[in-house]
Amino acid sequence: MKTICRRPVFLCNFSGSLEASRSKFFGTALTSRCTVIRKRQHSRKMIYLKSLLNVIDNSGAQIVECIKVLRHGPRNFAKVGDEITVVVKEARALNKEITGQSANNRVKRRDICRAVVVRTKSPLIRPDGSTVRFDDNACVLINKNGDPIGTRVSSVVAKELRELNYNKIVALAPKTF
Amino acid sequence: MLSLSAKGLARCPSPAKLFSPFLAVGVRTFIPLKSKLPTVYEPLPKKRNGENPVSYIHRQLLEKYDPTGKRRSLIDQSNGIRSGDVIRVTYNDRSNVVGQVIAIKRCVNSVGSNILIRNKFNKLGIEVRIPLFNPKLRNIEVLHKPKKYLSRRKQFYIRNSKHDVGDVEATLRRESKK
Repeated sequence: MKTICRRPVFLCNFSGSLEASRSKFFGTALTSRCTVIRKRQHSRKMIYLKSLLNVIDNSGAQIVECIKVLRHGPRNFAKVGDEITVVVKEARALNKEITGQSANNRVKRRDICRAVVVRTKSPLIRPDGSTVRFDDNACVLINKNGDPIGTRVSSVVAKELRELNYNKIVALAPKTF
Repeated sequence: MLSLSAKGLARCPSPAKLFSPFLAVGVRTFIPLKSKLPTVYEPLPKKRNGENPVSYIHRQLLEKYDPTGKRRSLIDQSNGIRSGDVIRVTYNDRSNVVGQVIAIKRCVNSVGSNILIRNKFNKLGIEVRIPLFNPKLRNIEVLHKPKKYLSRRKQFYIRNSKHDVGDVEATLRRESKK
């Protein structure tokens, strides 16, 4: 039974129902291998509808959800440097201590903003063949002119943003990769 | 040049056979006529001294992009760098990338080899895959070799585990102070 059924394991689509039925036949050993493959497929993330991103500026938002990729073309996922529309899912609580420019531009939960993707978990391929992969998906909130809402960027961003005229974000970032 | 004689090969059938009742019905047959046989030429000299074109191109490319053999020796299986080493890659514009090697993709006798290095900055992991024979690379230097290596040549499993790399530059600075 095992030898006959082994072939379709590699040929079939990795769907949940199939995996459940497979586990009945093969026990744990084969299913664990399948889940490893599945995980690898999932870790290659592009940014599209419902993707959650970290916000790395001091606009007040912490986690946002992508609701639209502002890009037209056959591939409608966002890469580094692409603009997206986001909803703020989690925001830092408003403090009275915060004053000045950053206090005026703070965003709240459920606000709709624009953002630019600055890091992706999916490898970003450069023209010379090298790739850069970050451990998270992150964005910086911007206004409609492309200027950042916050006044600081706390972590690294990709180099490509400079070529795409997001010079302010690159200048604020402590390091580029 | 040689040309085979057309003797005896194109033989005409006898007239009695040609007009046999069987043929008259309309069954087509091929009757070879006395004609010139194709000329057979001498074989051409072998290109590249008979070397396989793929290996020839790879050898040419390696000589072009790595004339000194320095890069090739860097990923040598026995003496070159290994997953776990810390390297610094300097580009021609003097920018550099530091990180711990977690995988080396070796393309045997070709210029497709690349090194995957991992580093952390502000607790955020960053991985860069660098093509080894990229002409934009100025230098690759080994900064640190650990006393004890982890198992496996491709150490993708160290991501987000207890074996994960720290801020490589900071640890190097700390060690140099000691």
